[in-house]
Amino acid sequence: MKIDEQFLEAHDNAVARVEDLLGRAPEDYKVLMFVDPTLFDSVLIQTERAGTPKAVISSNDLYILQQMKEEGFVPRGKDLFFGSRSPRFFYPQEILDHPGGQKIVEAKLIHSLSRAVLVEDTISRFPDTLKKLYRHDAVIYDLFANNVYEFVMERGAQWVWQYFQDFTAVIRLLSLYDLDDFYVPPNTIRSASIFYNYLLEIKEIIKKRSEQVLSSPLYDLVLHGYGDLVLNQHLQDFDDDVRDAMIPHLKANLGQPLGVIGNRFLSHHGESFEEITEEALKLRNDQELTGIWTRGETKDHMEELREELMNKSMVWHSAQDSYWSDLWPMRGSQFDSTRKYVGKIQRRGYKSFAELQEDSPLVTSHGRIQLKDREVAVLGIQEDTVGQEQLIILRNHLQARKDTFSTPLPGLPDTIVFKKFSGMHVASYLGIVDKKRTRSYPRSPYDLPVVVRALQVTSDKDAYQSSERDDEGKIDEANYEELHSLTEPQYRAIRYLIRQRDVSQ
Amino acid sequence: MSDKIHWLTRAHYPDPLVDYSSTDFIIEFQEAAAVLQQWRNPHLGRSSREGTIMSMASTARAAYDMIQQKLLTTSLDADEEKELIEKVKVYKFMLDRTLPEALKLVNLDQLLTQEDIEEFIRKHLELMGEEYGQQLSVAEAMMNQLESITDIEITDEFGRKRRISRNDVLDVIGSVLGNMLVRQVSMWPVDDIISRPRGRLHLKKTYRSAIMREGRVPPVNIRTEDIKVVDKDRLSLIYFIVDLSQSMSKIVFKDGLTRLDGALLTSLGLYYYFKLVNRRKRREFDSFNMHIIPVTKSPYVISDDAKFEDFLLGAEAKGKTRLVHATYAAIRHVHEHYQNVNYDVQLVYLTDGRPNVPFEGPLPGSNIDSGMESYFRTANTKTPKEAQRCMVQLSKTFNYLNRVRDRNWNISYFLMAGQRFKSSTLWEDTKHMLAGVTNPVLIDPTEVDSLGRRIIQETMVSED
Repeated sequence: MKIDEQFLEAHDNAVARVEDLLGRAPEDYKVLMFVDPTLFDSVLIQTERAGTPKAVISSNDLYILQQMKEEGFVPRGKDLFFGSRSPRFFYPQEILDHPGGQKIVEAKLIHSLSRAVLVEDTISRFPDTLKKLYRHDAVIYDLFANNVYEFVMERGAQWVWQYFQDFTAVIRLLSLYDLDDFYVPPNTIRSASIFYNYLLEIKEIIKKRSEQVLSSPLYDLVLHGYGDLVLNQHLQDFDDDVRDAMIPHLKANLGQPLGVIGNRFLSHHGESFEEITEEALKLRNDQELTGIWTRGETKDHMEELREELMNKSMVWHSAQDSYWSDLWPMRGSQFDSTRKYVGKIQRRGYKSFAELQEDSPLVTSHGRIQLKDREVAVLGIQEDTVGQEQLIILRNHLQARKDTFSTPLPGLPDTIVFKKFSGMHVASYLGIVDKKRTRSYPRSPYDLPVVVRALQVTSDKDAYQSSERDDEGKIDEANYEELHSLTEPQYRAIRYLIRQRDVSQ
Repeated sequence: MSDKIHWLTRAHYPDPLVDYSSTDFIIEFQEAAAVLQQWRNPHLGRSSREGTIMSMASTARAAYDMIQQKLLTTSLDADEEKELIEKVKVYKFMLDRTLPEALKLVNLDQLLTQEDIEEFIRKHLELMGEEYGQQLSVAEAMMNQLESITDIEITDEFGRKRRISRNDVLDVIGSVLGNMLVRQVSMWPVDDIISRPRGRLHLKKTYRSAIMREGRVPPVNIRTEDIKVVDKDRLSLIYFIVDLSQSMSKIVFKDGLTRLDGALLTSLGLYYYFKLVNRRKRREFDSFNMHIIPVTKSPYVISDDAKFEDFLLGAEAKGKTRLVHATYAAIRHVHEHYQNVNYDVQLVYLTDGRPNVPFEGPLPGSNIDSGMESYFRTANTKTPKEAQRCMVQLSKTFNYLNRVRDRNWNISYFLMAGQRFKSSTLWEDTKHMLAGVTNPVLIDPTEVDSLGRRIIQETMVSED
């Protein structure tokens, strides 16, 4: 095939060039070319969302991502690079027909190969962590697939796929924040059925995975900065007009704030290119990278870079008249968020993901409300993995009893979840209606009478007054004392939702 | 070939975004009933509407982020960039302004009907125009997604919740429920229309024509001029006469369904069944022209879809049963609107069979002796006097309609009740009232799915 030969040639050239530039080439990498570009789209957005290409995502995520793909919002220009100890590059086959020609393909490969050199040889733990994460996710995926297969085959329980999928994804999120303690099964139950065995097994692996995620060093600046540095070095050798013709085609590779900022720090870690490479391999995390400057120096550099990028970025856009009004503000805010990240690392000395997460957690617990007959947990979740459907399964997990599954375990209580979507601040309630009314033989954990409500949290004090129904004094029995870190409108929303739970039964 | 490069197809690498958990989704009768209840009680449907807005918000947030990523990383031509920029703006506006307000209005039950939503969309399109100083070309199409707020949440066989559009539900109700009802009661005007495909020989009419020509039974031969072909393109007028009296509010079916719910569901099923048939036939005109007559103090005729939905949403069981008045309204409507066209008329009654307000005035056929008066004189019945008078009036009217030659009048009489009703004297009275015209049919809509199954089984047996 002609097209294969072209790519092989580009690949061999790129490897030779990297060897030439860095004095070494990566060894344990793989280039995965997707013949079907839509398959590449799927892998790209799923990996960006879940961390590794093998991670099981929740049905909520799945639905949203599918929709994004249908709408054509996938940022297909991105090169997917998985920087574990054995790095993987993912490309759609389309890039072979790149309008910029073979030189562009070579440049893109050099960008990836140089990062591969870094992750193969660095002393940082980052690539090892990524490799472990990949392994955990692969094990989880296999366990998941095998168990689901068995369930569907043996019992015709089609719901199991979605159930296990959501369970896995939600526990993965909650265990990052140590909130998965609502589900603590005794080990003796393991032999009861493959259902429990799976849940116990998966929980253990997810716990290990979470530990890995939390201890993972912050390494993005080093990784992307190094790629940017080498690619720029590669471009130096071209004539000005050739280089100028190439740059517009390297939109995803150059001009990304992580790369540009990382590059700026790295290039001050040594005099010569060789020296910088040696230094880069010794960096353990972004904190060590950014530690060379004080805050003041950094601020000057950032200001200068922002200015530079502002003018340079125009080459990547064809809608010139919208550049200043719409496109640069987007780029600018992306740059600013990276700048903030650098600020946090420098000021507070963050080295690992755990520290960064503590600073702005996506999931927070606000305590519990005691009602006469039940508890209601109040959470704040700023993550799209978990929707109401996902919480339902955790809630229902113990309520449902049937031959195919039954569990005496304590589960998540009724929940109120706060979530923000830009200007939208939602409080949603999820609960099971009275036990008296639950059916004795539900067909699946989904088959339970639930109350699900969502409310716009508003500072308007009288917003929901008029629609309140008589709660027959039940409201007085609720105890709100254990709640903490909530605003007044949030309290009002909680009270309203608790009342609503009673009237909607 | 280098061992570093791997070419992957779907066979090597399964698509991570395939949803294996979704199974074929079949709406069952229970769902149809639940849908009706949700419709009629906005409180029940509220959580579904809120859920719709939540999922729109999640999607908008994901789209907002992903489009920005795409703009910043992927080479695009100017038109593509402009379109994406506009989309980002609309998503931003929706997240900041439209969806929060929509959620609040839904919380307060102020965004219920199609009109509410259209009005809301119009208002926000204007606001968006003001915010960005121009009308964005993609805005309207994107904002129209809000119409899915009227979507309805139902559960699949495992209890998982799905949202499907209101129209889909109605189609299903029409094809499942309506189809089964029609099978049971043979509402088709079978004698000369539609029961056979285009161009089929109409045996009965052909024989009749041959007999009339020869003057003897059976005819010796049939000539070409005798042959009558099924007239396919005829039009039928259908009047659903729906009882809304106080007694209809009694709960007689399982799942807490009242007689009224049953009647509404039955009319819903039939209404959408005929609509479906109309659509399938793809003619220039609809074969079935449908009207609804609620049995209220002064019965009126509803003949368009939007009003029909309003009626379903707002129908309440109260007041007395003016069945005769409603019948009169139907007959008058036919005479006024279809005087010169020979359309068939089908009167479909959905009632509990307890008419109690006699009609004061001249009724067609009042001089006919239908035998109903003498029946009441001799029969040992518990039916109240008022109801007896009504039934006599109805019986006379039906007999009159059965005899008039200007057009075909057909009558279907559905009683909302369980099987036990058959042992009551009211059942006997009703049968007498309809003697020679039609048979009353007991309908328990909650049993319709099992009846449907039985019918299918029986058909299969007889085919063997």
